[in-house]
Amino acid sequence: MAGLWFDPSFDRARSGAEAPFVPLAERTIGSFDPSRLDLSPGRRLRVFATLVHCVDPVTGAVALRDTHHPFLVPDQPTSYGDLLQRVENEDGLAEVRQTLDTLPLRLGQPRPLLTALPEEHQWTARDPDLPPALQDLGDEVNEDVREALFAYDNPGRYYPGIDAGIDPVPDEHVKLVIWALQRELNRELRPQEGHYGGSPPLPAAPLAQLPWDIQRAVVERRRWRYGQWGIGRAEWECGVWSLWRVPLDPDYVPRRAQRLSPAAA
Amino acid sequence: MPATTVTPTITPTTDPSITPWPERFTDPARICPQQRREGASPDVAP
Repeated sequence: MAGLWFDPSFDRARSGAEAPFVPLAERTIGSFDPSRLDLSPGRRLRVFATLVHCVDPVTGAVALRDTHHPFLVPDQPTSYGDLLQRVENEDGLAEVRQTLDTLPLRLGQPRPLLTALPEEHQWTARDPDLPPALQDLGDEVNEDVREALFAYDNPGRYYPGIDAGIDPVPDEHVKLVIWALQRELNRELRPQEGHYGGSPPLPAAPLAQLPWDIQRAVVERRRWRYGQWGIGRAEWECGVWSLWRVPLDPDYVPRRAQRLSPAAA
Repeated sequence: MPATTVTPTITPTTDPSITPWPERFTDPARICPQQRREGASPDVAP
C-alpha cells in the first residue's frame, strides 16, 4: 500500500479526468478527501467538507464523519456550501456547531507533549498526527519543507521566514522543530518494509544541514501555518481546535494542489 | 594467461554536486497523506 504513494497518479481523483470540476461550495455532499488533488477553494469549507459525509444520497442525509447518524435530512441532495451556512446559522444545529467547536488536534497514541529535545528518542512506528480534516495544514508544512530543500543546491536561495504576525521563535525551538520534522522524514526509510517497487527508497533529507536562516524560516512558517488554521499555543496545549477559528478564506487553494494538479497547469 | 581486466575510468555514481535534491532525497511532499499529517508534528508546539 505504502508504495502506491509513489505512483504520481495515485492522489488524483479516479474520475477527475472525465467529470467536470465543481467547487465544493456547489458540489453535492458525498465524501470529500482533502488528500486527493482538488482545486476547490475555501480554507474553512475544505475543513468542513472533510468533517461531514452523505449517508443517504436520496434524502441527502448528512452525518459527521465516523458516525452514520444523520444530523440533517434535507430531503434532497445539498451542497457543502449550503450545509456550512446552515450549520453556522440554524438554531436546530447548535449541537453540531458545538461538536465542531471542540475537535481533537492529535490522533494516535497519547504521548507527552515535547517542549525540549529528548535526550534519548525511541523510534516508534507512528508519532501523533493531525486529524484528516487538517490535511491541508499538514500539506502546507510539507510544501514549506520541500521549498526549503532547494537550498541544498543553492544555499543563497530566497526563502523568507515570517517577520510579523507570530510570536518570536527562540533558537531552541528551531532546533526542536527541525528534529521533529526530521523524525518524520526519517520514517520514510521504512526499514522494516523497504519495498518500493524493488528499489530502495531515497534517504531522508538532512534538515540540520540546511543553512541556519532557512531552518529558522521553516519553523517560523510552520508557526504561521498553524495560525492560519486558528491553532496557537493554547490550542496545542489543550489538544483541541475549533472549525470556527479556521478563517473562511474563500479563495484559499492548497499549494500542493496548485503545484501538482493537471487542471492548474 | 590471465584474462585482461579493464578498470573503469568513471565509476557510475550520483554526484551530489550536480544532482538536484529531489534525485538525492525523498521529497517530503510526495509521502503518503498520513505521514504528511505526521510531518506537522502536532506533539511539538507550533
